[in-house]
Amino acid sequence: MSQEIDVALVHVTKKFGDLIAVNDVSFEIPKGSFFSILGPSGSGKTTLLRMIAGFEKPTSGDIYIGGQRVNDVPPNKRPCNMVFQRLALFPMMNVLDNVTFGLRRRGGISKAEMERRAKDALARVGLEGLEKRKIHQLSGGQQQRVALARSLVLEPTVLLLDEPLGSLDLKLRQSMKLELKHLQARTGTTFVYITHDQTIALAMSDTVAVINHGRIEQIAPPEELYRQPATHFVASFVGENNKLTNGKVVAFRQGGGVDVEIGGIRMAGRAGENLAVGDRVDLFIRPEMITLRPGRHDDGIVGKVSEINFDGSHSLVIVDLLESDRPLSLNVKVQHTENAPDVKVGEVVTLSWRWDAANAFHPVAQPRTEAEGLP
Amino acid sequence: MKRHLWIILILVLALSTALAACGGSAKPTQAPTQQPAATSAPPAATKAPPAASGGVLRILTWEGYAPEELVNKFTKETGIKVEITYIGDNNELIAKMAATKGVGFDLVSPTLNYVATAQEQFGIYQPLDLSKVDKDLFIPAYWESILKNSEYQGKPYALPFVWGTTAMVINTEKAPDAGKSYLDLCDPKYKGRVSYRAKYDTLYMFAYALGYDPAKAVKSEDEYRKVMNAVRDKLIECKPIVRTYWDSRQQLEDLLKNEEVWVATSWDAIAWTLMKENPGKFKYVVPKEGAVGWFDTFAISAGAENVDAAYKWINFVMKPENAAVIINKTGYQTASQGAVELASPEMAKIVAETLPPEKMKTIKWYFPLPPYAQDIQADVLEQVKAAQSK
Amino acid sequence: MKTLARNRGQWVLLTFMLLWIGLLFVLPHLKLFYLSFVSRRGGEFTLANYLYFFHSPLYRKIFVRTAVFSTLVTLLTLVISFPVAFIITKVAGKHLKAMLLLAIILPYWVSELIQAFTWMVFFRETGVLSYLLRAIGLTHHNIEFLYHDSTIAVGLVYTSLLFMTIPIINSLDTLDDSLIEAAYDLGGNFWSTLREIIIPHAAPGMMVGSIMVFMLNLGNYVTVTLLGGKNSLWFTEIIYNQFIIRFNQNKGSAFSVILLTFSVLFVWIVLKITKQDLSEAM
Repeated sequence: MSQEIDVALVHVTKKFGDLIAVNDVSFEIPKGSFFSILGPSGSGKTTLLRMIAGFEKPTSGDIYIGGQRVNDVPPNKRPCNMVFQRLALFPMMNVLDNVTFGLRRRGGISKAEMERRAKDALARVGLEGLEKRKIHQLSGGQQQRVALARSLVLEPTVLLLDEPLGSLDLKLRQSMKLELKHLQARTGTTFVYITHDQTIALAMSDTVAVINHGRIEQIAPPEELYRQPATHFVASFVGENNKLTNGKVVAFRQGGGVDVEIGGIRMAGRAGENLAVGDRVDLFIRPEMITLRPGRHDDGIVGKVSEINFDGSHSLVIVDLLESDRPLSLNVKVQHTENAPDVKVGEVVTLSWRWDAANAFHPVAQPRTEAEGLP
Repeated sequence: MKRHLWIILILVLALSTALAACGGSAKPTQAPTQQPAATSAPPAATKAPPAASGGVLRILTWEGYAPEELVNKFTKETGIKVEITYIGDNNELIAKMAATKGVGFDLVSPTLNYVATAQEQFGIYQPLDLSKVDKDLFIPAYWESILKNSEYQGKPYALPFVWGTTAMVINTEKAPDAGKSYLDLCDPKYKGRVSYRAKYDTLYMFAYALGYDPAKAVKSEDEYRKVMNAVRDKLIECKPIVRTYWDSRQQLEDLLKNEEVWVATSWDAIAWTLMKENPGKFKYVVPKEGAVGWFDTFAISAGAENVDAAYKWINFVMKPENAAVIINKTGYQTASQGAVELASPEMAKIVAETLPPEKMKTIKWYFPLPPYAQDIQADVLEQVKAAQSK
Repeated sequence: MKTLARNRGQWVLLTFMLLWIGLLFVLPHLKLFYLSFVSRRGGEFTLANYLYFFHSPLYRKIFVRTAVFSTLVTLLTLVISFPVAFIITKVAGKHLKAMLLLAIILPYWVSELIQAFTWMVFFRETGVLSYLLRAIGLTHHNIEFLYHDSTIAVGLVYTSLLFMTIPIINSLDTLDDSLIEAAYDLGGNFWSTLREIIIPHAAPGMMVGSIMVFMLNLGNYVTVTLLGGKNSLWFTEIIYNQFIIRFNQNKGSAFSVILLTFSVLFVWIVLKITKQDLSEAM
């Protein structure tokens, strides 16, 4: 790890009365990276971000920004700026005044210089010529950009983003998503982005931290997160997954694989955590990782197509397993490529997958965990 | 948009509020005859059972002059329902009456000096039909005098009802020697321990004390202005001595009881009540210039709709046992023959002590005011109040 | 059928509103305006009623005193109410919020007259304040606090607090907390955030409050007279005297119009200062 670290959290815990919102969280964010914190609502991700911004104080643990401990530094003195969920643009000011607000607070910058920097920041987000507009005269996407420019003009070490794309419609969200990523690459500013939307997190981030009930479940690059989830929660939260419950580990394979018996059928998978023969497990299999062949074959699991849902580039095929001792079914994503198998409802098919495309975890006793408070 | 409409609405309401005072009914000014201002006495609709016959009698009067006890009794006896509106000031009474030429009220109780002049200016009363009044109920001397003094174009307009005096009250421990003259109110000895009203009664007291006769001077505008200007100069000169101008009975009682004020002008009823409650501590004193006296009357409104009921009420209230109720309620004296004997003997003793016959003779009765006199008095009072002093 | 009924409802409402404003506001003021321009006897057109005011140093003095005092008290009320409103909307927890609101509203359960009497009990020479000061040994004899201009100011501020605080609470309520946080995040401190974010947002409420309080003070009589004592002559009393004591409706009307004009002027100035634009709102 020779990389320069911009933000570091060391054993940070935050309690609100009896409620533990953030529970012993530690991580490091390298300079210039796009770091996402992904979690469902109520997972503590907002609290985490607000602690970095300085609006909340950790109950215990330390926060470092740019190598400096900032626990006792108020938000207006931290080298980071935040883009708020509801943007929090100042409605009483025009675009230019919004963007120069931070510069005006610094002092020692001439008016012309402020205006130059503001225009520069607005140009970077593609808002040239709208300086004199009132905030309410802008579209949602334009407001988004003003909020970004308002923070970026201050050239912060770290830019914190509190799910700012959440309020946009799907199309705009898609394009803003890309723009954000390009912007980050261009400016080289460290972005910390929190969201509950895993498609955003996976698409934009260099690194994603998955948080649940105040605890970090996994920190990894998006691909690793997707292919090798570290916990039961990550496997079920990130991406679509088939989840087969009530399995039992019956044997180990070489290279960290396990054989699991579910409903009387033997299936292969990767041991997501430490497992022993005889352990009860849930098995997760990505729908797009399953190979579907028409007809009955010996080297796979035989089933019958019960439903086909066409979805443009692919179809989602629901297959009921024929040889299990209880009703089980798997979703299979079939890409519409040239040599895609042509199946019909009612047809018998054979399913197979590489063992490391599936992940086995101990089942989690839901939903009671410590983060939900007592008693 | 919505917010701004809201602002405009508030604005409009606020403007009207500011001007409500200009309409001139919000002010708790009090005439000498007024009882302690119960803060927001609702115009008393009485709880009497709905009258079977006889209709409604609408009275415009002072607080305490038509106690609920009497109203209920009256309704029971006659079947006439009574509606009462209270006034705090004679000018208010005239203003109310003049606005409608008396329509809306049957019976009113102006002070004597507001009868003939007001009739001349506004024509708000109607001549009395004496055949409908039981003359034997009245003390003869008052009957004669009030009928005569309320005459306008040869016809009487008012009957005697309640009377009282204004003189001085002293704290007998702190200022035992005060009260020989109204000029004691200017004595530096009592600096900050003096209170009087910034009203016309004070103007008369000082006029008499300075050796003028305002009742005579009032007949000439120039003469009256001269007298009143002299009074004004004296009052401005005396302003450092006075603690505050009292405005309500409650206020005066508080000032006296807390010993913040030792010498003050006072309506007799206030002083008498204080004497009764704190024996030996206070005294109602009539200085050598004489007390200022007022007489409240019965007059029939020019716009009366139930004249008969008005006369019935007069004959009812002036019965000694009924008038005694008013004496006990207000502390004032009435023109009812024999009522005093029925009222509290304790109070009767205090009255006899402080207002013996020889002092009665020196009473300076309120005199009728021509329009210019009202203006002169108001000018003087405004100038006195506006003069700044420590 | 339904629309018909709704339309009828709207017409009834509109008629009622027009009657309300027309009968209770426009007509009386038109009458007032008319009366102020005619002579008392004869009723011909004259400016004498106004000239009378402008030629009287006494009335001018009282008018200026009333206006200046009302303005100062309004400013004072604003300065006191703003932090209170801010605490109620942005800082206080549920319980403190309810308590503060109650403390502001409670005084209005009694009439202004009772309020004034309460202050008298508090401020008078033998009153509570004097007693307390003696009890803690700050002074050895009773002190009279009543009958000063500052006493009037206390009484007026107290009676106007609600009318200033509620509109400000109203406007602060709509201020998104994240705006304040954003200002801080961008480097703002307490003063710059107050000046650039909070006050501009609360300006309409402050304006409404100031106008209401100013009007209330201008038209006050009870508090001023009872707490002010011998040196307190308010312009409303002059108007009252014209109408009631002197029976001079014409001069009374002229004085009322002068007061009204001044009020409108005040509103206009406040609008200018706070950069609120009524025409834009229309």
